[in-house]
Amino acid sequence: MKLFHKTLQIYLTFSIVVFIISIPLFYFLVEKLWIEDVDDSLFFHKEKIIAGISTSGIDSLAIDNFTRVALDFDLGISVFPLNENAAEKDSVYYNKFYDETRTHIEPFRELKSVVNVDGRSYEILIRKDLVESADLIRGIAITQSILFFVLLAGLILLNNYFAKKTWRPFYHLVSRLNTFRIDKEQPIEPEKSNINEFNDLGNSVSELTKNNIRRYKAQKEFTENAAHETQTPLAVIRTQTDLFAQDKNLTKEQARIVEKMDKNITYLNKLNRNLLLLAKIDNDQFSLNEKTDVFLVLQETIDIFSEQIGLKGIQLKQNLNHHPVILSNSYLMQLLFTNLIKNAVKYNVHGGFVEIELNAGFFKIVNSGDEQPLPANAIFKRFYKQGTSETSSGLGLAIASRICELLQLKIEYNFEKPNRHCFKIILK
Amino acid sequence: MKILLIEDNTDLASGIEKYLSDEGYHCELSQTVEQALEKIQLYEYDCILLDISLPDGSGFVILEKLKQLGKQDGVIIISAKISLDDKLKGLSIGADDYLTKPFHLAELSMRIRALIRRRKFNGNNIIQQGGIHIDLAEKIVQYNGKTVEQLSPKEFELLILFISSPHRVLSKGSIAEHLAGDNADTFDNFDFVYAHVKNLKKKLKNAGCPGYIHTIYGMGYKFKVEGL
Repeated sequence: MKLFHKTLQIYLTFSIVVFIISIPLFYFLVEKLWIEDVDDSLFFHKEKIIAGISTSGIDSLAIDNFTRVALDFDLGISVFPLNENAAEKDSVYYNKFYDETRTHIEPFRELKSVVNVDGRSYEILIRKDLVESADLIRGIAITQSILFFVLLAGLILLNNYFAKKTWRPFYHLVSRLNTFRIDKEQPIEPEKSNINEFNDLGNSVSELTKNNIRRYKAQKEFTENAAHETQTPLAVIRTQTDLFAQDKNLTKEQARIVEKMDKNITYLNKLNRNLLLLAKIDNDQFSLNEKTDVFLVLQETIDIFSEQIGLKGIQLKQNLNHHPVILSNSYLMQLLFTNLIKNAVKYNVHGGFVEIELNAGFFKIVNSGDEQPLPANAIFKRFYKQGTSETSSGLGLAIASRICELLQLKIEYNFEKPNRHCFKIILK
Repeated sequence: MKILLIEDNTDLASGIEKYLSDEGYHCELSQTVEQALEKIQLYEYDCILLDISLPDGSGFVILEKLKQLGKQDGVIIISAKISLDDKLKGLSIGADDYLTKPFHLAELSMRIRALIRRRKFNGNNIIQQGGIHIDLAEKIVQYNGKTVEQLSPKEFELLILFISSPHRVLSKGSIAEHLAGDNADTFDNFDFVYAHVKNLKKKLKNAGCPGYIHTIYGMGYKFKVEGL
C-alpha cells in the first residue's frame, strides 16, 4: 500500500465516523434549540394577549369573535372566557393535527394557560407549527453530506498535490535507490527539501552511496593492479622455468617438477586474465552497441572447439536455424559462447554429446556429464569449482553470467535426468 | 641477427637474452625509453622486443619514433597488458606482433623467426630444416622432394613450432598454449598435444622422414636434427 493511500484511508475513515455521529447530534441539538425558541415565543404571545385583554377591557363577545376569526385564519390562537375562577399551571405539549391544505399530519407545539385578568378567568391556547422531524433530518443530512464531500474532495486534492510535493524528495530517493548500481559510480544526489527529516535522510543516503562507490572502486582498482602487477613476475618465473627445462642434465624427477611449475604458471596466468576481464566488464569498458549476428559468432566459436569435440569423441548436434541480430558486443558474445561451449566439452564424458540450439528467442546448450545436477545457485558465483579440476579457475560461468547481466540477457541452468545439463540464454 | 630488447625487469630481460643468445642472436638491452630512443636512432635491428610499461614512459613513444624515422626494424610488443585495445593500438602504430606476458620462450623465438623471415627475406615463404621443406603459403610439406600427407592446420602449426625451436625442449604446456591459446584448458590433461604429435610423427615417417621429434619424459618434446 502506498503511503498516500494509507494516510488518505485514515483521514477518510475518521471523516466518515465524524459524519455519521454528527447527523443525530445536529438533529437533537437543532431540535432542542428550536423547541426552546418556540416555547419562548408561545409565552411571549401569552403575555401579549393578557396585556391586550387587561388594557382594552374587552368583553366576552369580543373575545369570542376574536377566537373565531383567529380560528378561521388559522392563527393558532384561541381565548375562551371561563365561568368559574380557576387557576392552572401553564402546560406546554406536543400535538398533532391533520392539515387539510397540505393533506398530511403536521406536528405543533401548544401552550395551554389559564389566567386571571381583571377578576375573570380565561383559557388561552396558543400553538405553533413545528418543522417535521423528517424534514429536519433531511435538511441536516443534505447539508452535512455537501460538507462531507467538500471535505473529501479537499483531502484528496491536498493529498495529491501538496502531500506529493512535500514527499517528492522521499520518492526521488526511493526511486534512485531502486535503480542504484554500485558499479555505475554515480552517487545518489538528494533533492532539496524544506523538510529537515528528508534533508537528513537524503544526505545520509548520499554519503552512504559515495562511501560505497569509493570502496568498490578501490577494491576494483586493487584487483586490476594486483592482476597486472602479477603478470611480470609470472613472466620472469616462466622464462626461468623454460631455461631450466633446457638443461640437458635434468633428471626425470626434476623434469616432473618443472612441468608442474609450468602448469601452475599457466593456471595463475589464466586466473589473472579472468580477473582482469571481470574487472573490465565491471568497469564498463566494452561498448554494447554493435549489431551482432548471434549465428555468425556462435558458428565461429563452435568451429574453434570442433577439434576438441572430435578428440573427446563427443557427438555434436547443431540446430541453428535463425540469425537473431542483437545489440551487443561481439567480443563479449564470443566469450560467452566460448565459456559455455568450453564447459560443455570440458565437463563432458568421453563419447558423450553436446546439443546446441539457436533460434530467434534463445540459445541453448545441452551436454552429457555427471548424473548429478549442479547446484544452480552456486555455479554462477566467482570461484565456484566443479569437482577437483586443477585447470579450472572457477570463473568461467561467473564471467558468462556477468556478460549476460551486462548484455541484459537471462541465463539459466537446468538439469534433466539422467545426465542432461542445460544452459539456456534468453535473447531479447 | 641483432635484437634490441627493451624491458625494464632485469630478471626477465636476462632470461630472454640468455635463451635468444643460445639461438645465435645478438641481444642488446635497454631498460628505459630514453636509452631505447638513443639506440634506435644509432643502429638498425632485425627485431625489437618492446615492453609497453617502462619506468620513464610508454613504449608506444618508441614505436612512434621508429615510424617517424622511417625505420624498418620489426617490432614485437611484449606486454603485461591483456587489453585488446592496447594490442590494436600497438599494431596500428606499426608493431608487427603482440605477445602478452607471461609467454613461453619457444613461442617468442618462433615469433621472432617468423618476423625476420617476413622482413628479411621479403616474405620468403619457405622453411627448410633437416631435409624438411615447408611452403608456408601453399601449406605443403615435403621431405627430400617427397610430399608429406596433407597436415591438419594444427599439425602444420605444430611442425613450424618444432622447426623454429630445434634442439629445445618444448613443454606440453607451451605446445598446448600455442595450439589452443586460451582454450588449452578445455582438457584437464595434454592428451590432445599427444594426439597431434603422434599424427604429425606418423605422417612424417610415412614420407620417409627420420624420427626428428623426440619425447622427453615428464617434460614434452624436442625436435632434433643430427648434425645441427
